[in-house]
Amino acid sequence: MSEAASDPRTPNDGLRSQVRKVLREPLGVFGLALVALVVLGAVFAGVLSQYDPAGLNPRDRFLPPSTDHLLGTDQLGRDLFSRVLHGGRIALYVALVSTGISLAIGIVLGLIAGYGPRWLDNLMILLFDAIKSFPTVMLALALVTLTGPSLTAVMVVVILVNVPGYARIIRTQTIALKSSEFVTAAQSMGASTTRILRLHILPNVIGPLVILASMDIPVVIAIEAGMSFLGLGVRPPTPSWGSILNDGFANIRETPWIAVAGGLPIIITTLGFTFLGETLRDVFDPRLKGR
Amino acid sequence: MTVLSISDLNVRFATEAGAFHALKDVAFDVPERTIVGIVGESGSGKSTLINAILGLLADNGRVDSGSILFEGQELTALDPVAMRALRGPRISCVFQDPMGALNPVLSVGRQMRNIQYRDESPNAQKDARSAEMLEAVRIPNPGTALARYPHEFSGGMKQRIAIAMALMMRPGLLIADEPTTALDATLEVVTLELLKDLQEQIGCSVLFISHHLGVIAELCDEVAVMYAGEVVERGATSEVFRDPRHDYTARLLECDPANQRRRTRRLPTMNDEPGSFVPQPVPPAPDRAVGEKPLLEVRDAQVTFRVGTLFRRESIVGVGGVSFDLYPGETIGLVGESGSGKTTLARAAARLQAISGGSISFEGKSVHELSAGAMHLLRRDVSMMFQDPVGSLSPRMTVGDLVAEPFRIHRVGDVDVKAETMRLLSLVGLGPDFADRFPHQLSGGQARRVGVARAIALNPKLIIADEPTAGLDVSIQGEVLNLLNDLRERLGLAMIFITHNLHVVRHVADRIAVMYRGRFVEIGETDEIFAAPEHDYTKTLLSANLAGPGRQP
Repeated sequence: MSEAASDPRTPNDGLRSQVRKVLREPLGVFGLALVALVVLGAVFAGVLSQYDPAGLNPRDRFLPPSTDHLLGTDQLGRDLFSRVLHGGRIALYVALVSTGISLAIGIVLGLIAGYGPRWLDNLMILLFDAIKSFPTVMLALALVTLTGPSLTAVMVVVILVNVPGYARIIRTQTIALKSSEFVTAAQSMGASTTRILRLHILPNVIGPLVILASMDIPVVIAIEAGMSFLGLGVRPPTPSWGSILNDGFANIRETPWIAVAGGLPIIITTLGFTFLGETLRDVFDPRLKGR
Repeated sequence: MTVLSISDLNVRFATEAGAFHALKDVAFDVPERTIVGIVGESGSGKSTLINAILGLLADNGRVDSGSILFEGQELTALDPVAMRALRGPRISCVFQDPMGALNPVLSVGRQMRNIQYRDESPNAQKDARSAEMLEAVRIPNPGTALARYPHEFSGGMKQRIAIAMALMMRPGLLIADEPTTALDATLEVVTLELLKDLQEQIGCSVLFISHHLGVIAELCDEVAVMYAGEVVERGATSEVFRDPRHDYTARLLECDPANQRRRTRRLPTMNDEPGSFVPQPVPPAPDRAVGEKPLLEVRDAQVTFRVGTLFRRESIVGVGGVSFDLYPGETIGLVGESGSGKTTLARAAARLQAISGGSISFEGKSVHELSAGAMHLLRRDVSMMFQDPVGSLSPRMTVGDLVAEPFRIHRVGDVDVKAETMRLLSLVGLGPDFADRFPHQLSGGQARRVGVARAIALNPKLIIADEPTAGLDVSIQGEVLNLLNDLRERLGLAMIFITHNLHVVRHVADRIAVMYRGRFVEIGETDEIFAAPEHDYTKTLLSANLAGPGRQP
């Protein structure tokens, strides 16, 4: 058998039928469509709009939506449609990269806490709880005060917020599996601790976490938008949905379309990922359905 | 008068693969004041039958045709509200798992009071009645027991409390679904006696579901044998068991290891023609060559567990000083009830559990003092089989990967792992197509075979088998035992065989050690132990292991 054969796998037929089940749920299809819309918009931002998202054009300030400018322009004459599409890149980049990093750190810490000695577990739980006890905004403010606003600051905040939760989930399930017969069986065969964690425990605990993470993506996008709105995130002129929203907020009575242009993509993305995540959860863990 | 009369009952489940016909023209009666047994292996439709009677079929199941007549009422036509009023006061249930049947956060008294909610009498009176019921099931100090919570009782007591609760409202019919399967042999006997006494006292009928032929023979007046959703035979228990008319019943009876009165190396399986089976006598144990070294030497091994908080430590004795030798190729049966320390001793022998005293050596090397590297090497020679056939297989790995796991762990490079995996699978009677399956796609017997294949993969010298036949149907039990016996002889394996079932161990073990409260109370040749048990506990155990139904007069 090749080396690939020893990798943990979910049943092939199972995975395919799971995907089919998602496509059978109207909510899942809707969520998938919204997510696809956002992702395609971000990927093909340069093709879909010929305007430079940061290009100033003082003559075209505050233009309402038209065929030239689908979502209108802002106070500096920048095309909002173009800014929204490029803002999507930032949002998705932050969401995917920081969720991915959070997952990786959370899984490793959770496995160590769950499988390791009791004192280490207690210590790590204390640490997780300490981090969790900070409100997200306070954490963000404290960090930005130290480092200044940047995309990295946003991602660090997201990772700090997410890791304790992920680690706790992995830890709890690892503890439950630690004394199960198949783990004892692996021990009795002489399997090393890393082998037991990698092959026998991880594949059995990762499923719920991935679903949870997919449902966390909208939260991460909201954190990025929120921090950018407050001026703690990306620096101008880089487009971000949060900063567009902030631009619109200043002139909301006269030019409401700017706030709409900033808010709409946040709503669409959040809804899309939430619907998709919930459908995924129901498909993978039917017991939770309807909760 | 018949209490329950079922005729031509058909139940179908709508599944993705089409309709599944779970019960086919099931018909039988439960007369007044009788105990009727339902026997059948897993998947025969026993549980579906109970759920159909109780009106608790899963959403995708429905009664297609037929009738369930209870005390003159047609249950299949009853609306859910009327059905609910019937469940509890008129039809009540006792289930297999005594822990799951009681609510862990309410005191026993409170739960028993809740059962009497339809009654308007004051609480003091309800409690008095509860205490009376607890006394009837022989719970000591019933008055104070009411204030206690389920976890404060032992498993056997919990099951007795569940029985008391079920009979509290004096139902017309008690449905008992494998109520003694989770209990030890001695407790099983006590619980069955109690059930019979109470049934006579209250005058109710009992529908008793079990896969254990001995229990049915002991308890039931009438029996119905179920196979693949059909009742293939029914009649008076003694007649059915003495002179089975249906082929399946005959095979089932013959397969029960308890029915093989002579020790035999090969047990009958469901594939054997009934009556054609010839026992293979066990060859006498070869004389030990003078000076032959034992494979495993256990000397005064002790295991204690520390429990409690930092300030109040208590130790519990798991194994309290046990000694024995095991020679190459020999099998020792470790017999005792749950909590007697059998599994702890086995785990200590494989160094999955630290010892607190004494020594355990394998081929002269002290197992608990070996370095990690030496221990890793030793794990090739000692392999284990665990109680739960499916649960001991890593759920996300294929059968092929599971069997190959020992080769990968020990980095055995000089063999073609794939070919070796296939060879092992065929050795345990599984085809190559099994290699791509996952554990949840296997039956209990197939999963057990995978466990055996994995255990013998690296040609070990010693196999420690912890209840390898527990939870398997009678027919599969025989196959697994035959497989183990066969491999043992062919590969010259030594084996520690742990079980609470004396009828099983008898056909496998050369010697038997009886464990009680962490100590050996008796150890000796299998025949001697069965013929002349010396210790009182061994005698109790022997009489508690219900005889095979064929022995009934």
